[in-house]
Amino acid sequence: MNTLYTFLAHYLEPLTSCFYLLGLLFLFLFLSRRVSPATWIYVSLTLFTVIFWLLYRIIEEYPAVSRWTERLNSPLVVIMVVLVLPAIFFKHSRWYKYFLILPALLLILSVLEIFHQYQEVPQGFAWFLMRPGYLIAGVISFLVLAHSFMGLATFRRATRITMVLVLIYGGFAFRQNYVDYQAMVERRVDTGKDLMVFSETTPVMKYEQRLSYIPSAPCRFSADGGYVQGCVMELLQRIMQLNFSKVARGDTVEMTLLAIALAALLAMVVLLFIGARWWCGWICPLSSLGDLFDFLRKKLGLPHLKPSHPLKLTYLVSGLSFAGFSLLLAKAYAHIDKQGAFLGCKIPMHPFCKICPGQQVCPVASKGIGAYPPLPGMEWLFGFFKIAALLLLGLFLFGFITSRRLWCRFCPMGMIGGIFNRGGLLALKKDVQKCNGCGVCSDVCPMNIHRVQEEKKHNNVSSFNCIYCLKCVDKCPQDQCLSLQFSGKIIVQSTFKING
Amino acid sequence: MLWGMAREKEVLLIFQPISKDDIIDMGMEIQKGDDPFLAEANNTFLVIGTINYPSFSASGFHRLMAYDVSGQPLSLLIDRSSVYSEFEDGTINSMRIAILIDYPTFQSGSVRLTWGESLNAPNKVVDQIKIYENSLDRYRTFAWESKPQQENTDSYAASLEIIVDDQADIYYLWYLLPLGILFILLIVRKKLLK
Amino acid sequence: MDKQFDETYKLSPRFSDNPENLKKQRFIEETQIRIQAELPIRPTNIAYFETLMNNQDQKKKSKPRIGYFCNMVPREIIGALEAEPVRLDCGNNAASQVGEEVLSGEICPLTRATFGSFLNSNSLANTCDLLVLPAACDAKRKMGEILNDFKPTFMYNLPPEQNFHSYRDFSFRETLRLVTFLETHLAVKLSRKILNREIKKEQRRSMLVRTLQEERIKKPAALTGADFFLIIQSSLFRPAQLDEWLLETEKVIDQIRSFQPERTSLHPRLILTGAPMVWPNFKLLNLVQESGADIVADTLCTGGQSCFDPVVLDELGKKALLHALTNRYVFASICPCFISQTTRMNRIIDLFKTAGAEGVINYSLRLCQLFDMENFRIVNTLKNLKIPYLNIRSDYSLEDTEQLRVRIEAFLETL
Repeated sequence: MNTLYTFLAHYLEPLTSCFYLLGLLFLFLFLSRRVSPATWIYVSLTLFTVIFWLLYRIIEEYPAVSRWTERLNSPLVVIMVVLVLPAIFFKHSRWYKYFLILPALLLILSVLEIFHQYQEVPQGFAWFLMRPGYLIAGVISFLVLAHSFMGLATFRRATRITMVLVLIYGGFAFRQNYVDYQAMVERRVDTGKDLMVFSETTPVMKYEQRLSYIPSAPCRFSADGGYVQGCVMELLQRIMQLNFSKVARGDTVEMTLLAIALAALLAMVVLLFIGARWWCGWICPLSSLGDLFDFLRKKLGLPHLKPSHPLKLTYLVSGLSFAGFSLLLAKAYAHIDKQGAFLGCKIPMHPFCKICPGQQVCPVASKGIGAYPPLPGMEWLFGFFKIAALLLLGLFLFGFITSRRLWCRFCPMGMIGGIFNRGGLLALKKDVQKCNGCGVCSDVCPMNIHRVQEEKKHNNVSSFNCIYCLKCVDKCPQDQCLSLQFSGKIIVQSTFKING
Repeated sequence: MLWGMAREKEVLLIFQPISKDDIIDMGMEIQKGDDPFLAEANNTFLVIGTINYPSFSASGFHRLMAYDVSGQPLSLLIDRSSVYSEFEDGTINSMRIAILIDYPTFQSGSVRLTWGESLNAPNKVVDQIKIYENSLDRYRTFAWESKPQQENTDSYAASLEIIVDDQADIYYLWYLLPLGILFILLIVRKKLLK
Repeated sequence: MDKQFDETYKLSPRFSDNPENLKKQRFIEETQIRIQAELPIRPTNIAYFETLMNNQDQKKKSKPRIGYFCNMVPREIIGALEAEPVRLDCGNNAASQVGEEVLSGEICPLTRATFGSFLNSNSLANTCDLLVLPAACDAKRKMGEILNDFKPTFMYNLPPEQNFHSYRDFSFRETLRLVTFLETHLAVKLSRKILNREIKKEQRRSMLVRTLQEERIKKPAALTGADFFLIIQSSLFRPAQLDEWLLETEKVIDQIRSFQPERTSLHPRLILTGAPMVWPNFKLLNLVQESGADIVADTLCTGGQSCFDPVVLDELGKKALLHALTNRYVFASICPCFISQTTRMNRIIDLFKTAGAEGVINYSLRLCQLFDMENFRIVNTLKNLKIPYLNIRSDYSLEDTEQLRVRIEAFLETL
């Protein structure tokens, strides 16, 4: 397994670059606009891959350049190209069943990897140890295989549950290998720590000089660290907390931190450009945890609250205000004195994280209600953190208990994705002539978006708040009325079907 | 690309001059008098600086050592008050140190700093490293210099790692180029949608 | 429960049993049966549907019977309250003459005929226990007031605009009022589970009618328009056993699928749109058929469109189910009684394209202002799209049959 891994890591390394993914997608966009025949497209994409691979190997000879590009590498990229894009684009071609051999093989390899890691472990050990490349490959392979025989709603549920397991529980359940696991156990301390000094959260995918983020809210403040470094707010705070006067003076350390953060930002913008707010709808583990309340409510047959326009606006404005203010606090953090205070106010590192419900919900999810961190005292910015933490937790719970995804209208992490909704590669499209005006799309939408139903002229009905959960596409009874399109190519369409 | 655990890490420290402004920026006051550490010999220098970057972590004051170019260990002073632990779990992420060097080492221009769990150095810990105005000309500070990467393709125990980029002047600004392109593309596509 | 109608000036129900007129009504129905019996190709089990439509024993009932009008009343609610829903719109010319004597000749024939059927003490309409009328047009609104003297009536108010955002709650409240009305009079509580079950049954009807329409589009010769209407209307306008009907309809679909036409049909393909065409008022269908054209699809609320939209369920709480019903019955409707009919035009144009039709015939009922004025938009829009179009304005009487035939044949020549 080790030799296989090093072989794959070495030969696939060029394809782990974000630039590869972007180049591939832009080439595809360009070609499909020209309506080229299918073979032409495959040939060009293969040619591009080969050329890129060679270019990358050439650049590797110049470490002065390559060490900058290496920060944008991630196993997620190559797995998306190899598994996800074919599953989307080749789904209806006759080669699809042959393609399925690949995810099946990768799934087997992932299982073998677990066994292999276990050979180095003393008896009685219970968790999964997997190198991230194998974990991501295995999880995505499982989803690609499973979705072939699942309805859209079931597939979405399966994906969300898997993502909660990986991103929240990943911190202690999916370490890279036994050594990594031991290091985690050594770092582990009493989690009864205050919210403001939240203890050990080293994510699994922590590489030297490279931070891995995915959009939406994969909070790493769960037990033992979560899987990735965190959400976009974590990154923005990190950037804000750099001392830019030091950077201007050429402080090497500060500049390196900035470089790492910018690389992480670029990698995340690539993911956002590709998937916009889909990460919110299908991947975000924080919302999946919140939706447990929604699930309970539905099972009990209780109705949900359709939020009025003022309520929606309140959530939006509060989200922007709290996020903006926290980023200012983060900026202030760069200039704190020895007591950790700025102009007499005590400010923690990552101020938004301290008030975000993620840092309260994720530990509880991973370790039980007893793991709820004690609230900060009033000395932290005159009690702002204590009050805000409780307030935001209240908004979170209220939103999910009564009104499906109302919280997502607050979430600043989601709003960054929302910018890419109209203009990114993913789009929700409507064939207006086929709409019968029934309003089902408005009723099922967890974000209470009316645009899909009301649009009577234009094709593109994506909107800032849409999380691409695809409930509207699933429920629309008119054939081919609504569709999810990825740079013009239809991924899934509405069809007439009856429940049950 | 290896994602394993390193046992020891090291980096090269290049000496740089230190000015009064630098001292004030480091938050230190200039005391009156002579520096007791430098009083022992005439041609010794004290290289003072703060270790402050992501992958540094030491579980204690004795987990780091400094060597000169010939491999001789140098005495390290640690400033207890400057210790910063990101997660307050006993791991030191940043602290101020001072290295006492002699003239030949000073002329060589660099020392090697190593840290890791296997080290146990007799470092001296003081409450606070102080700067004295009479010895100002014998203070220096340090900057990082990376060594050429050695390729170990089939072993987890890498003993050398690239820590910090040298000449990390403004190359990071190149990241803004693809970022900018993506945003411009986004805006253009948005305008086309209207 | 709030009372909609005040009893101060209540009149006692009056009947005018006229045996001559009843004979005329029977004669009209039998004529239509005969015309359809002479159609070249009919499904083998068409007798089931004909019996359903014409059997006088239908008047016996085992459950409370609720009469309703139009296509906007949720049948599932009625079914879930252990009652049987029957649509009471009447298409018999003789009955409209009876109604005309009592009310006026200047109101729409459908209203006159329906009222005429109530004047007959022995009619199916009079076996109903309760009535529900959607306030779709002025005629129905006033008729509701009048019919309240005959049977307890509920006026189901519709929003003036199909503006989901503004009127969703209004329509939902109306649905709740309907439920309260029915629960009180039937002394049964609406159960969420039974409602769910009824919805699933009606969804099946929706699926079958859609499939039937799709198969007919491919092979219009296998099932004529008149038979298609007969099949659908026998389940809506008569108290039918839905399970039986579903089975029989499936057999019809199978027959269509296995039908092999002897030669490719050269008949012009037409889309029918317009006002309700209720049994036995199939005059236009007969004419088109006799003129050698095929009506491959239609947007009539008494034809293919009646079961076109399914109820779409998301959450299963009682409120959510009622919302889903309101969405389908009120907001998906393409009746011109709502202003701003983009969805109506969309449906006509979309159906024209997907069915590969060559022309559109609009049937507007004389004295119906809604459909008559709708014609204005349809004529101009279709002219812009270069779609051949014919507007037929007629009522129930057979006097203008020949004139219409000439017009239809002339229209077919132009295709």
